[in-house]
Amino acid sequence: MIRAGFLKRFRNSKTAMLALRFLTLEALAVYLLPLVFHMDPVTSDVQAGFYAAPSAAHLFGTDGAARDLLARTLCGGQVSLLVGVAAPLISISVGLPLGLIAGYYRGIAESLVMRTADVFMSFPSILLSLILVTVIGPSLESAVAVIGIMGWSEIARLVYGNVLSIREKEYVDSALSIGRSDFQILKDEILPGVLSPVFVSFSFRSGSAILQESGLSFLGAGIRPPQASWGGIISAAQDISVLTRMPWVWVPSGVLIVLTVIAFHFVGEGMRDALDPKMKL
Amino acid sequence: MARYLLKRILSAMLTMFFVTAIIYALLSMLQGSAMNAMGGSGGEMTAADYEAARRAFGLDMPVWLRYLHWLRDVLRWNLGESYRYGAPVGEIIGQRFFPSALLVGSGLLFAVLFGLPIGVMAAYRPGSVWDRISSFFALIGFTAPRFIICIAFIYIFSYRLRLFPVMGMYGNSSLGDLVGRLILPASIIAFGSMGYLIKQTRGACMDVFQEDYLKTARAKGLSEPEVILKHGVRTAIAPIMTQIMLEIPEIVGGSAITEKIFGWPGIGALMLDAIRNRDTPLIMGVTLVIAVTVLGANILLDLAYGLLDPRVTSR
Repeated sequence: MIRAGFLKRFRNSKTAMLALRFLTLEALAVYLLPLVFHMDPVTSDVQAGFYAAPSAAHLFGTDGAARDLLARTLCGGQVSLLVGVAAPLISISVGLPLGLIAGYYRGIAESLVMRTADVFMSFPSILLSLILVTVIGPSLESAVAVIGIMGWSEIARLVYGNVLSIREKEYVDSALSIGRSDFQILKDEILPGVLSPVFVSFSFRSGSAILQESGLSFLGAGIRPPQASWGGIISAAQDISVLTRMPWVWVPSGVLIVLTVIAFHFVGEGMRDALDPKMKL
Repeated sequence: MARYLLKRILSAMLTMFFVTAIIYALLSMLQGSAMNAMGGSGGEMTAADYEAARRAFGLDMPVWLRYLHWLRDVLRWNLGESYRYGAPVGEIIGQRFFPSALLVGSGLLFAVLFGLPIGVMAAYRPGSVWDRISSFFALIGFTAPRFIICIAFIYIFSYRLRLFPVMGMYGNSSLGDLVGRLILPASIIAFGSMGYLIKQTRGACMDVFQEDYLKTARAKGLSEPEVILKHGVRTAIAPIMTQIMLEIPEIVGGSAITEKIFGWPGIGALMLDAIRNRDTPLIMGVTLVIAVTVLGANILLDLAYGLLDPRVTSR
């Protein structure tokens, strides 16, 4: 799958490497700093006050419950990165097999899978996720599960399209003619050709999973306080006085969401260009 | 053409059936939602009262039967009553429809007015300033969450620069005031959908601009704007419209968040409230309206293909 020279070409892309460095640094920071400095994201520091401006004791200030915003921002980063890795894994583990089956067997399987994908893609995903999370009950686990499952249709479509073109190749015909089973053909002949685009789309899906989680948490339906998340921190800005007079509450998390998603996007583009610049993703 | 249209409408109705059935089934798993939405804590209810209330709402029937009843009522033009507001769902949605149509319509108009020319210019001169503007917008469109754009815009344009009022749709009910309140949320909707639009326009035009018939048109002595607009862009319209079609659900979803933050009295904000209140009849009503809008817009755009793309004459 990963051809020789992939890593070399990826390393040649300056933006992709910069993005990858940023993400690595960010992962180290959000997971290690709270441990090293014994930061506490849940306890209120009433003496510091509610919505306190940044100070030596609280570098990012405090939130509406007088909790330290630096600690909350870092812990929110843990949530975002976790969602960014776990949700695409779920999308792929649902969408990949369904797309393979739909593209290889065609017929009933094809119409069943692809029409269901149409249904999913014809309704605003944020509203459907919101309903799903409301039914399951908001938590980190349900946010990951819902975002992961909601992403299945795009992966299935991508895989389906690639299987259709690979299926016409001579080596699939020759494998059929020597009597290999469908499963063996899917596994040995078709899967390897499909994995590259799926691999590339992983990074793009990470970015959009983080966007969706922050949107759900912003609306109070994803990660719920006291657990920290970037969307949840920013939702304080729905209060007009926080929005206008206390930008330190929402600016760091806002900037971090945008930077993180941009970084995943650039890594995805770098992987795409290193694998196959003509790939449409 | 008529057969094709009929086929499209039938498949859209099938999709609509599945969308509403899936959401109906999901909502049926919200236990006791009717009682909660009515504001009753349920604590003072006896078991018998509870059963009576369930029967009154028809909640003692199996889900599929309730769904069929709902569908029958929809066909009779009756969407039921909101648990929360006690008013007919159709009436509530009716009041919210115009503000949403105005907001999303002007947002899309902005997106097309700015996005199309930028995309065409970027494709015409790859690597130029236009191209860089186009990739900047595309990047923001792909990566910035809607609610952050809303908050940043309100902070910069309403608070720092004091250019626009922030909240709601109705101020002193003058047209100028309405336009002032519309510009900011509408440009956010435009901003959100412009990225994809620009990227798709650029890609489609790049493909078309290499076609031989453009050389022919130039050889015939047509002026450059004529070549680009009449022969180039017109052909590129079809793939661009496909992109807009794919984006419509996300534009509707994104406008819900925009409406909520701006206190705009539209359908999207209504949906977010209905979900929070677990107001099943209202959620189903809005679901239906959104599905009809999305699928209807798809069919209309699909029909417009034939008019705009000279290569598609009949199907």
